[in-house]
Amino acid sequence: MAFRKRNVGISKTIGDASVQSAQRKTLDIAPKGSRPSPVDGRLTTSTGTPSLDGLLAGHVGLALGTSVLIEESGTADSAGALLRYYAAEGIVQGHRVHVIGVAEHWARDLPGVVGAAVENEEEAAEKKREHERMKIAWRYEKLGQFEGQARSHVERSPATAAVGDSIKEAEPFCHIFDLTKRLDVPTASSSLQFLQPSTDPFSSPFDAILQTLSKELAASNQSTLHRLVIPSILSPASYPPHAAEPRHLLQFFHAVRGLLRQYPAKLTVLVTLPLELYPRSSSLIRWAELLSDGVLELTPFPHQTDDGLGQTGAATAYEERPQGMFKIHKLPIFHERGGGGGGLKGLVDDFAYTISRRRFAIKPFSLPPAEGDKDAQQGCKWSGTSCEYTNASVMPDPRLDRVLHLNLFVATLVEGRSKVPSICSAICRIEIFSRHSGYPRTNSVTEARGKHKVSYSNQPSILFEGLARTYQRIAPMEGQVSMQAPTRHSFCIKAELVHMIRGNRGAPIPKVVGRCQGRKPSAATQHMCQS
Amino acid sequence: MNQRASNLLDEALGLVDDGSKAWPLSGRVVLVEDSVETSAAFVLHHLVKCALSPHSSNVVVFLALSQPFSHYDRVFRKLGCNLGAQSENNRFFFLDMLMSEFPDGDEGGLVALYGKIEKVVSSLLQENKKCITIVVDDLSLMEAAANGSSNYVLDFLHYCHTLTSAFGCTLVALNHEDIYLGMERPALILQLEYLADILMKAEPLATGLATDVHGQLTVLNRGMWDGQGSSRNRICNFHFRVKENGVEYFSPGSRA
Repeated sequence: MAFRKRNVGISKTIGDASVQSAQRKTLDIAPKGSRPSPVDGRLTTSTGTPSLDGLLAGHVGLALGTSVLIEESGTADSAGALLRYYAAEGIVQGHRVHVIGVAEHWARDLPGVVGAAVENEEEAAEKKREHERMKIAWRYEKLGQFEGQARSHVERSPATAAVGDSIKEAEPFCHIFDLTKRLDVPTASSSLQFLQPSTDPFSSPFDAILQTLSKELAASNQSTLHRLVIPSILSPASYPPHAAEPRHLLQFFHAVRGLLRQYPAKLTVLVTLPLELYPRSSSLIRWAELLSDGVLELTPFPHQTDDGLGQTGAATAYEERPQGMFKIHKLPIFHERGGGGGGLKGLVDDFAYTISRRRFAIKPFSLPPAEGDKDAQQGCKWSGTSCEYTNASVMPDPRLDRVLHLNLFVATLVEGRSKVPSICSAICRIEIFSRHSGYPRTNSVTEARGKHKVSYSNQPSILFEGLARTYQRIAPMEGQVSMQAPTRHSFCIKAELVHMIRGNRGAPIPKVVGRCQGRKPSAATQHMCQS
Repeated sequence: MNQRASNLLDEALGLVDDGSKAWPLSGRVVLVEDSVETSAAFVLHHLVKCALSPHSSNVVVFLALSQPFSHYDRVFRKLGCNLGAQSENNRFFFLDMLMSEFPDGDEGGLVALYGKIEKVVSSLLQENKKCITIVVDDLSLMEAAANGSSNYVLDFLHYCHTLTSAFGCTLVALNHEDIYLGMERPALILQLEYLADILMKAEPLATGLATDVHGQLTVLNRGMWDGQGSSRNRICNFHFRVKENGVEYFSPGSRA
């Protein structure tokens, strides 16, 4: 079977020919651009971003009849990229896309199609994967397959300008878009519709929009899917100020929710919200979150001025540096029964997102090792003479055995030319505590002191290195290292949680399970930085 | 099979089933609170399932504002309860309020709703059914539908409260605590908490996300009459984990 249709991708592992044909019959009725979810079979459609599809609670796609609210702090519009992929995916699949609050020129920013996440190219790779398949539940295996397709896609040259030609017979679920190319929306088609909120101060700005939407949904047939795209809701550029009153905004969300429930197989909604004006602590936003099925939050990292210092450690793992943290507060379908945060595999990790030309990638975020002597700046904040480093996750695998050691490395670097050799000392406090559920909070503090005579040299002189402490199993745990040191020296500090595992030859090998590092500059450079 | 294995939630609510006691929740108001991160819908499902169990002769009137009937049907089927059959036996009444709106300045909508409920209740009483449970899924959506006029919603709740005191019904309502964060005096939630006999709060863990525990549930049971005839407040706190067809409750820290 060299050619496999997309909608029997799940039935392959069932392996029964009769079941396959039966499924093919029922799935042919599914509207274009949707497919049943591997978890419970409800119809899902792609959000245009494969990594986001993979995060949606195992359904590998946004379930029809649900809405997702994406909040973003900061002024960069990374969530806008997600929306653009979503709209472009809708246009390419032939769905009817309604965009609210922006003018027609928004359509010119839609990314062009580069290739498609094709399944029949993956036959050989999949066979290989089957052989090295471990004891993963078969559904999760399929999940990896869906995700893997987008990464190893086959790039086809967009030979013709028209979008429709790049779709071959096996209609793919999710396409690859390129943000630098432009999507050719056939002007005569009615797939894209722009609706504006009204500025009449006496009525709700959303009333006309809702009426148009409900008319369209009532009039459309079964196989057309609709997508509702709302970029930057409540932004003062497009919405009148009274749109933020609860009675208008919440009424709108409530009505959209009603439409979603009334036409459960026709509509999906993606909304972005800038958090700068309406922070998450306000009850209005909490209410909007309540009325949406899924809530995601993007938090961009603060811009780091010293890019010349080399990449931060995270960049060694990815192609580009992650641009922000991606947090999941609520997922459609999964939370409707009360499923909490950590229930799904992989959801306990922190996620970070990266926007590149080709894609919006969401990957688990962790602090990887630093290389050699490079002093990386990681979440450092200093006040006076001490500085603190907090490590986001020193989380050893709870299956690891019980004893963990803490290695500490403190070095001082003399900057510039200091004529007088000096004695410097540092006190380093390490605090390890457990945040795991049900475990008692253990707070253990270790102090390490070092003293060293420093003469001017460009090499770091090591103040303290060694085994600071041994811990019994407290898993998973977090560490926090803070250091006090005189101002005229700059220090770099590295702490590692090490687990000794038995090596091949019987000798124990240290395996690092968590790291934390940072740097405190001397007063001279500190002054420069602050000014 | 008279004994049903009781879990921590049932003990906290006093719902231990030994076949002899009357429905212990009759005449009481139960308020369930949750937040965006942790949803307490499972508590409602559990209570409805207890009410619809074959041992008792309860009737459930369900006001659904957040999900259509198909959703509840699916959920309860996994829990082992057939809503369609129950509604045919006149044990389950479903009032679908998804698309209803109660526009500003017109209290008529909510009053009419109360009228419907009262009709159902009185017709049931005539058939000599004693224990009626009224479940409201999501009071905050009622408030949103009423355009934010919490006064009307409070009036509606007070009407329903008269049903509990006069006819011995049980009122169960779900609300969310984090949407009232910004207000100085969130009248609705404060009055509800004051009115409630049993207050249940579902929160995420204080220590953050965890793989095997989804949240913690605190049950405050006011006026529990124990054997000696005195009443006292009783607070229970335990952790829960939501599975496909049920919920597990366990004491904090007992999950290895």
